[in-house]
Amino acid sequence: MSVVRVDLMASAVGKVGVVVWHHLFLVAADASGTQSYLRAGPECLPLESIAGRQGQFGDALEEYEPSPAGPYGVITFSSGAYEPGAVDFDPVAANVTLASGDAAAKLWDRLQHAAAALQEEQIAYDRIGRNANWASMELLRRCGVQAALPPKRWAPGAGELAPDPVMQDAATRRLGQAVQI
Amino acid sequence: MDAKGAQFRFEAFADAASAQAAFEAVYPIGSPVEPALQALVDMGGRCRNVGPSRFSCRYIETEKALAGFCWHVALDSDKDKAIQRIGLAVAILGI
Repeated sequence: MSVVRVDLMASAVGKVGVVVWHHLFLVAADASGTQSYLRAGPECLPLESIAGRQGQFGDALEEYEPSPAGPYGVITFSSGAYEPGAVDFDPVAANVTLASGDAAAKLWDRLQHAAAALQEEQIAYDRIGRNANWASMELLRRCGVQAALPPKRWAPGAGELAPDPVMQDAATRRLGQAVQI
Repeated sequence: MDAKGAQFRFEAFADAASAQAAFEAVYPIGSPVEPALQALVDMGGRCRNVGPSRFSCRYIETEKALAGFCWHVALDSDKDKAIQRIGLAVAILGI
């Protein structure tokens, strides 16, 4: 696939009161119009979300393995053809074009590598912090792209900054303990 | 929702393969596409026409939970409006 355009997509997925929240993901298109997606999400769902469901081999609970990272596991990335019936496909999703032409091909390649690297970091999925929106925007930040969201789209987590290792350590110290930075 | 539609609920499944098998049992290849579409809409799915005889539907379980299953169904029909192909995918959707 020779990418000629990369877009940041915002798909409406729910509401808090009257405010619609959006799920962010990335879509690349080649010259023929064939599209591929790159998306982030939780590794798993909590036990209570699986209970009572049927899997391919029977009771889904029997195959359930809790993640040591927490109820939602770690942030994971997936990619594939962006077409009807595919994950995240939304024909009315809002979009912002991030790159076109040769720059798009380079950006898509960098995004794939950044996604692999971010997934290897095994970051615990946090629904209201480092979530899928954070992960998509973090990929862009790591690739040097200062992306704005499509107008009037609210995407919780998109503005969260990457964890600061120094502050992470400091937060684990007991109150009153001296902190040497 | 018709009686057949009531037989199928995404919430009963944890993967695409099992959901697709159940969906195809209720709405087999060759059966009319309209009842399948109507059932998806009735259960809260958002369906759009994405081609002359192609429909794309999305059913999100996560609207209140911030993270949950999101189901995607593609239905292709023929000139007689009979189902020719069903494609079903699921993702864990989190914002």
